[in-house]
Amino acid sequence: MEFLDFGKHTAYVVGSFGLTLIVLVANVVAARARLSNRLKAARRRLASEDTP
Amino acid sequence: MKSRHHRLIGIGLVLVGVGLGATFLLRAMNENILFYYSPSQVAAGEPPEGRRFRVGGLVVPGSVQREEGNLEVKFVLTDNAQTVAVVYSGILPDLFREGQGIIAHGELTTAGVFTADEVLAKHDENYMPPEVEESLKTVHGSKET
Amino acid sequence: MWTWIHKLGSPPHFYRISARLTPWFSWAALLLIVAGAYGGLYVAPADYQQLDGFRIIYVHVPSASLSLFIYVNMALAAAVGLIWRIKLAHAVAAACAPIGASFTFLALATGSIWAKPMWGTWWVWDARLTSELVLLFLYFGYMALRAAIDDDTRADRASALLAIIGVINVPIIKYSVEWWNTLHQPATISKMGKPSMDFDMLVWLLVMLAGFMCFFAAILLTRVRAEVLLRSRGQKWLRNTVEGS
Repeated sequence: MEFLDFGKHTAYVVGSFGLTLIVLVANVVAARARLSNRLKAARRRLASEDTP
Repeated sequence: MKSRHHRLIGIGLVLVGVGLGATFLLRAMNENILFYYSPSQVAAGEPPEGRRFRVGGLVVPGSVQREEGNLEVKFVLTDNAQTVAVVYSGILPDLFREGQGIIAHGELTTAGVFTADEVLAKHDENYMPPEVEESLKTVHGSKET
Repeated sequence: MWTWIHKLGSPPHFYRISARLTPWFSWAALLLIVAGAYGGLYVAPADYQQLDGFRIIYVHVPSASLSLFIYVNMALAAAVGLIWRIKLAHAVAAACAPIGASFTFLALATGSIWAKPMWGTWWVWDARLTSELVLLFLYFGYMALRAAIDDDTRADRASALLAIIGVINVPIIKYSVEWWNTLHQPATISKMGKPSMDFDMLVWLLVMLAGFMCFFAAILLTRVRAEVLLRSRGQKWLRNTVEGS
């Protein structure tokens, strides 16, 4: 793990970059999940309008 | 047509009102928002008496004295006008060094010495590699001689 | 004069355009953030005082800038929605809030991690840190207010007013380090003239900043689309768009 060596501040640097990665990924996952849920709901609604 | 302008003006008025309110509030609270007092303010007796406060300044080069055997450190803070002597025992932050901006939290004893139980380092907004800092120093040094 | 606003303000038009733009912003964000992180961690020289610890700046400053930038966007969108009664503008404001809150949290958290080794403390109640914390609660308050009101139109208007009033906090955050004695140092790059940072360090910060901006754009467009889907229930254009994709 030599590439993750930042001297005496290793834990702080790795910690803050790691946290940033988590927050960015969480943003992507949450936004995409929301859109796909809404798309599914809209399709379901349209389908139910068609049946009667 | 008209109502749109009304809403625009309304929002403008709300913003002006809230802005004025915030300005007055912050001005009234100015004392409490100040994070620390400078040595000049301490010399002028501005910090409240008998209460704990923070003093901030630069560590005077050559003023740092460490006690043998314990963690006690003595140093002098300056704002290039007045000075405050500080006594502290505990762990100093990484950036503590002579010439560095420091903020000490504690109280002023009757002898005029500031006894701190917390010392924080305040760094500036300049970032540069060591070589650049080195060359800046030499340029600066050659000017002085 | 306002035809362009009205055109962009039409949900089907906006939906199509944003669906087309999102991948571009996403890829740009990925490239720029990976490059910025690599450059910041391995290419940029260490600081003369803080050594490798200063590298936290590459995530802290972009998050903090974005926390303010997103708030200003949210308040502007809310004001446009309130004044011109454009539903889409309210949708944009609503989509901004969770993204802004996450970046405000990130700015506070990375700042705290950075403060511990350098200043010697995780947290102090100085003007900069406190006002940034207030920003986080403004985002939370905005989202809570929207969630508390069932009626869409009323939720839009009430939350828009809160967003607009809260914009007062933005200049307070920005100038806190100049108006009061704070532990936090003044701005490195936002002041006029030459930035107080070596060029080899600055480049990667700007790359990272651009990456975060693109990231925000991509997430915002995705969230606004989700918001539009919910608000356009029962409208004809939905059928073509939803079934086509």
